Amino acid sequence: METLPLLLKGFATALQPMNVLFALVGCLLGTLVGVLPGIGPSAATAILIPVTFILEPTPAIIMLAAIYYGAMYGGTITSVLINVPGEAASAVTCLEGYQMARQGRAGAALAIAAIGSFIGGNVAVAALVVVALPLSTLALRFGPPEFFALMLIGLTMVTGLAGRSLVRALMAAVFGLVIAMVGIDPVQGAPRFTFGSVALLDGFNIVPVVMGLFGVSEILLNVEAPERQIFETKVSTLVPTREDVRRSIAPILRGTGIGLFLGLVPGIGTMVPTFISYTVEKRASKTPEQFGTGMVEGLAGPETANNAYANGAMIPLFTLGIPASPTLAVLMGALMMNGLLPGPLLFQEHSDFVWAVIASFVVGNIVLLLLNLPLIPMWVAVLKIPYSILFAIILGFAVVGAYSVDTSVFGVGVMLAFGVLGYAFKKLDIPLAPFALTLILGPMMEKALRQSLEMSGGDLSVFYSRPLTATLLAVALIVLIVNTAPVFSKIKADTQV
Amino acid sequence: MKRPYQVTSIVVLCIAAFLAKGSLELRYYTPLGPGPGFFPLWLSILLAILAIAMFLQATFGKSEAMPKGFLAGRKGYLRIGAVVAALVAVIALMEPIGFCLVMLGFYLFLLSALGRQHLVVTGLIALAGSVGVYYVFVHWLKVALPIGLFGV
Repeated sequence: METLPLLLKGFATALQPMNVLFALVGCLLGTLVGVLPGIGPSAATAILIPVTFILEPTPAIIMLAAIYYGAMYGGTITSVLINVPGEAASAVTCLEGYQMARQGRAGAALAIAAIGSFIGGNVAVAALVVVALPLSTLALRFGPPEFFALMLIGLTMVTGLAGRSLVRALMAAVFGLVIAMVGIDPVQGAPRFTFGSVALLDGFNIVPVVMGLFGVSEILLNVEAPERQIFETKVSTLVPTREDVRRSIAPILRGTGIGLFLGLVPGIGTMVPTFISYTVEKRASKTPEQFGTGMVEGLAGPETANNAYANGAMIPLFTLGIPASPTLAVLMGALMMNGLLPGPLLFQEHSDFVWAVIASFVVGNIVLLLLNLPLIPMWVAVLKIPYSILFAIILGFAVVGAYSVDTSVFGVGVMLAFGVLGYAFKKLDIPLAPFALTLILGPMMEKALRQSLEMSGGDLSVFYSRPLTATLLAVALIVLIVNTAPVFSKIKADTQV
Repeated sequence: MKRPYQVTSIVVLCIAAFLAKGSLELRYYTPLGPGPGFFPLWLSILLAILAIAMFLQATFGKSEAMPKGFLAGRKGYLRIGAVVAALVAVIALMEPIGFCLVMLGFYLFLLSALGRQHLVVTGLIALAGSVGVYYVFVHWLKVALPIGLFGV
């Protein structure tokens, strides 16, 4: 019951006119970058961090969080209208949403997606409200060994982001750890791999790194191909039919459950909930053979799961300090730049801030629902802008963003270097998500490991003699086995052929 | 995709060797516990193992077909080169020449290199992206941007 007054106080802050305005601006900017090709939510959030520099932490994070879920919805618009997912989580939306658009039902598809996202998102926020205090209170009992085990769970989750090759995913994860290691050693203060550069003493700032990895690399991939004009679809009425609504109710409920549950599991990635939801809807359907022809169930479920996941993933971020996706890693970076470390202490030391941000998620979801549907013609107009102009503008903003992080061109150089690296990774099918996650988790994990061993005088029993640590390590082991088992069975099957 | 992965694994192995050499120069263990070289050394070993695994997979495993468009055409590489060159120029010139002039040139160059637009459109975007952005960031958002030769 102690949660309710805190939440109400959070709403009082979140509903202050300026905070509503920042949520609104964040939703608009997020949707815009979600609509734009070649820039996903991670890079968008990173690029727009400097815009929040003059703000207090509460409105700054309200705005960045709104950019995050705005971008998730913006990706839906391009998936439905032009069959191009604005971000990875919207890839499944193309399957049914684009077919609906081709049948002249783009408006209904976007409306169902918005309604499903609204329901899924708010149910996930309700779950966050319920579990936040108990979970953060439990996490307060954590010492360095428990934190190390928790970070290890986050890192083993990386194996779930493996894509087609576990080796390549692990390589990306280790590269993230290596990059995170550059700078002053977190325990004893010795410089590591700085090559005498003063700029490297603080290590690589996550903002230009993410802008390069996800933004610049995507632009480099896009400019490879000749320019193409892409938008042709016309948007019909936004009111779905009664039949559309009836058929969407069960998928929305199932999508909410799937997205919320998977949001609690750190490191699962944004694509998995949508694909699972699509598969579930196909199996639940009496006419699975019609999937791929514009079935509203195949749109409503995944879209709901997507937003439920996006909001549900805030639970491990806020309560345990574990970012579930690269975008949340950027958000975590932004919190840290504002002097706020996500985790259990956040609820103790910055209670007003954290509850205002949680309440703002509800405000943001309402803003998205009310504002974005009438604005769809505007987003359609944005899609008619030639790619060359969009890319130049995005790159220009990225330059400003990278420069303003440290007020130095060093950030622009870092962005370019990681852009080229990200381009190479994408060409070689090396996933970028593990890289971004370990970049954030690496320093915390190293610090926790070394503090644990200092505590025990180098005795490794500190990791299995404490029940909570042993339990968390067992969970990490189970996650590793569950995630890697399919890979080994695939290798076995390949060798038997 | 055999050859690209073989080359990648060799490059990664070299990076791992470099990391290992660098981490051996740091203290591996101190009386208080693991030193600054502890983590880097284990990471370099892990990276080397993964590089070897990638090499073996690429050499003896089932070869993946090279995806369509893996190699860009000449024009594609020229466009990539234009983006990289524009960013390198920004890095080299922004502090001595100033934000406005460099970004004006950046937009004029990129907009003509990536796809020719109407001259007026190009000019307006270049002005908005340089002078406009400077005004918004410096005067409204209070973010410092470099001032160069002509006080802008």
